[in-house]
Amino acid sequence: MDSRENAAIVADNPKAANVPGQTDDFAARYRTFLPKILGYIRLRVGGDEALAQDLTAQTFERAWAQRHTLRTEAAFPAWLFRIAHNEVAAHYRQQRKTLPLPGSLPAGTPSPEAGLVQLETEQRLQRLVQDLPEREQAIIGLKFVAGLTNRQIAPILGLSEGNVAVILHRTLRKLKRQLDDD
Amino acid sequence: MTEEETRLSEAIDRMLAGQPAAVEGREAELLAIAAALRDWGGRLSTVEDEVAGQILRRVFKEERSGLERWQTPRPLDQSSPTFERATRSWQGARRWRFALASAALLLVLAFFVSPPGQAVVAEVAGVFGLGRTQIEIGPPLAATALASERRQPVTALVTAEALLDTALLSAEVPSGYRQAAIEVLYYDGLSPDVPQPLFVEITYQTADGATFYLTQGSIRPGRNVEIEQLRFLAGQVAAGEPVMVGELPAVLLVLGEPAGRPVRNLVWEQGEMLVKLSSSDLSAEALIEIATQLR
Repeated sequence: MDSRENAAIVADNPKAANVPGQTDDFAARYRTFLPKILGYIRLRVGGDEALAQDLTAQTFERAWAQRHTLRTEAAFPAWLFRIAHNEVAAHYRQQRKTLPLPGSLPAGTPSPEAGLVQLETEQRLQRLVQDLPEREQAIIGLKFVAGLTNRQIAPILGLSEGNVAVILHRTLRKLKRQLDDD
Repeated sequence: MTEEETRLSEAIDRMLAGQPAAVEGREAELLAIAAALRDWGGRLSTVEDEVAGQILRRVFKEERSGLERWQTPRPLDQSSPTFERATRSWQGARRWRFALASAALLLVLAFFVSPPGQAVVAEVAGVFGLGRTQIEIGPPLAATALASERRQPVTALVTAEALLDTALLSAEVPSGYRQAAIEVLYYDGLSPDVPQPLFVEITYQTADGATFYLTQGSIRPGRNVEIEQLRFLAGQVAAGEPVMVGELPAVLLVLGEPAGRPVRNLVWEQGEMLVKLSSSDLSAEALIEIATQLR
């Protein structure tokens, strides 16, 4: 996206205009974190791209509305991903936990050099991740899409850092076992 | 946490940071899975400029009803007729706590077992996320819909832990306070799937009567039962704001009280426990200080 267009959208907004000095920060953070937030939500909602974009927009709206609750700059990534996690959780609560059908995840575009075996394994992996329980799926997303540390993931999910490591290990073992069984 | 789990977590963090992450044997196989997930995550994070622009425009330009729903409730005017009507029948802080616990439980049940639960959720005036549990501030419910609460005194924390079948958190209390009572809370008319008692409440008191209450229970008290939402009544919540208890998200709710002494409720999740501190004697800062030291 053109950064000038981005700045114009932010500067044109009355909500932004009420907070001098913060609009540039928000625009910069938006540019930095949008890919990972959208990627995390895509993983959580399966192949529904429109829904992923809806929830991403709601995440940034809420982040803007609650920006005063952010205590330190260093806490921003975990704070923002907690909001994204809560948006996804709220959506599934409203949907009575109706999960997308297995295998409906966006496959992404494989790199040209990706071999057929690797592609097949990744597609199977995506299907298996979609079938994981909510908490395990969230950890996979926060770890491998968002790139957060266990320490950052822990408060988002209400777990200890050690618990995150244990669940991550257990989930990878489960995925490996299921891949081997397929 | 085992050594293998620690080694694998460290190797994954090195791999994600683009550093060498050599491990051997079974851990190497798991690291290969992690690498495949990382690659997939990279592709999921691809955003076209057009999509980025569309989302940004929606964040700033569209006025959607959802935005108001997610904002912090504004403090109510305590001199308004609405506020007076909502608080007139209450005699003191203890009855407040009874009503709130009952209402909270009702929402848990409504959400789990009945479609009307969804209708109730749709009318909320404010929502706060704690991680796994949501705090909702909504309109009053019919008295007949409230589960009735029973309290049973117990003499020791170990007894309460045995009854709840969970390890309790303990508090370092401010100077002058001592443990005055322990009660476990039962609710009549619940499904047999909901194990009881659900909560334990510990009362701390000073010699001159200043009091605070620590209430806690498992987020997942039974095999198929998980507390997902707690409900407070909109007319009784004078203000609410998200706060932090250490690194944990929490909600501070100020409840109006006829005698003019607001009751502060601090609610948060700590591990598998849902915890509430409430007091009309302690400041918000003091409650957060106690909460931060809970272990």
